[in-house]
Amino acid sequence: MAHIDHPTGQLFYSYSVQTIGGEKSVRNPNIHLSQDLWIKKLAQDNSLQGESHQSRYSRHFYPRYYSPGDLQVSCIAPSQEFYQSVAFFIRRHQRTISSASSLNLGEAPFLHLQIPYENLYLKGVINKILLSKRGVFDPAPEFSFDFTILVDQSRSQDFFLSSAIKNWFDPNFGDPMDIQSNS
Amino acid sequence: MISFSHPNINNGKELFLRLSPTQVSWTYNLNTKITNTYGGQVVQILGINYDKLIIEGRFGLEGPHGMMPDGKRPKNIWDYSKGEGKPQDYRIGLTQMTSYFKDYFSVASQGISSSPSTRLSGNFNQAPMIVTYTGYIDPDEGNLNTLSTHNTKTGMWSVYPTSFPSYSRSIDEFSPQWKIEFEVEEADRNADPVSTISAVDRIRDGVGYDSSRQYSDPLAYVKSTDEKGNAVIQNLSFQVQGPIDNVQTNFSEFLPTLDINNLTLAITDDSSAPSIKTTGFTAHQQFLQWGGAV
Repeated sequence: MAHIDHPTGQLFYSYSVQTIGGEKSVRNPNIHLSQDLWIKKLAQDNSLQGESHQSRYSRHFYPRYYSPGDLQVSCIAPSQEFYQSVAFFIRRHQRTISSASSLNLGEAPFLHLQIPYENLYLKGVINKILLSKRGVFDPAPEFSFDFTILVDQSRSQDFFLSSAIKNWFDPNFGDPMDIQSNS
Repeated sequence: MISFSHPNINNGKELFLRLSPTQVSWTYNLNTKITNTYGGQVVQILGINYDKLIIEGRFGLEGPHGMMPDGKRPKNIWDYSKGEGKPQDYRIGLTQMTSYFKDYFSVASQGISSSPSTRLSGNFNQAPMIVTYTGYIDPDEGNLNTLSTHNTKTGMWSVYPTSFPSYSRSIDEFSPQWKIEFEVEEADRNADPVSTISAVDRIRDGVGYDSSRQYSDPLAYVKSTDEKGNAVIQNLSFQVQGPIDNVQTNFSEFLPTLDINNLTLAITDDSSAPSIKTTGFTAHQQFLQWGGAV
């Protein structure tokens, strides 16, 4: 890991806002928001799910699903104010992604996590962050979050097929097993 | 030293780690079905297998990765595919190792394709990975054909990695530790003499009629020579073996209701005995040729 006298990672995302002004609708240029991180530790579990079947002398394994675990990121903040700004940034992104008009991989305002010193360039979401304020009793608060990886741009192998994002209201068009579209 | 290789990752080039694993463990299982009855407990023996093979190790020093302290990203260093494929390759660290196994998981669960756009879901790659390690382990469990130096032995396993739970980078971890879990497709042959292949061969020997197979005829016998060059005859099904003069005596052990005359008749007039391919004689004719009867 790199020294922690300067930020070791960055969270950022971009999104566009459509505003109505007079007769013309004006699409603003992308709004770009970023947040620096001082990262202390990274950890991730990876596993391959499958089925195993037993014969008399051996047991065979049939691989089925790759289960990339969330990237666990532990950080330290230089102040309570910084800590709160990180939490606010993540909350703001959660509101943005929840109301996004498209969740296509190329268009949706997913969160980018870049840690150049580790060669990590990821896109995804943060499901949860705990904000625990202790004021002057904790001048350099430590916090952690799990980053759910949707796209791993630092990989040499394609990872896109194993990622799929759906809106909560998506009717699963084209899915023959879908209940909503057949009803 | 330990290495991993898979035919569809990095063109089958081995990924070498510089240090031997610190721990290798697996479990032998006997599968049983236990049923309690009024007369007592019935234990049914169903089969055997290995439980997970678990290998742990350390990097003495993490390899280069990511961006250099001056802010410049090193070229062609972080990726394992740029490695030399040699044991001395210091460019392989935990980052590269993690990338290798992530790629394996993708290939195993999504199949192989030259282009991601043509890759279809539902394709799986079930080729196992080969793990080879050298260490100071029990000589009975090393592979004698790949004997290493300094009393070390090399184990070679055919496995499916299922878990790589140890990617962890921290400002206070200077000697990264790794741990991998595997499903065992086939153990090192010295760890498991009754391997899958030998078991399949045994089954294959018993399928279909072939006079050269030992299981085709319970009374079949073959002629060979002992260490001293004397002609001997043996029946493999009953494990009867010895000088030709004693064959009748040995058969009588398994056919005790026949006296010596009827026993001789049963052997020499066995019209159902198959012909032996190499000579064209029937078995009892062959027996006579060898001088084993009356």
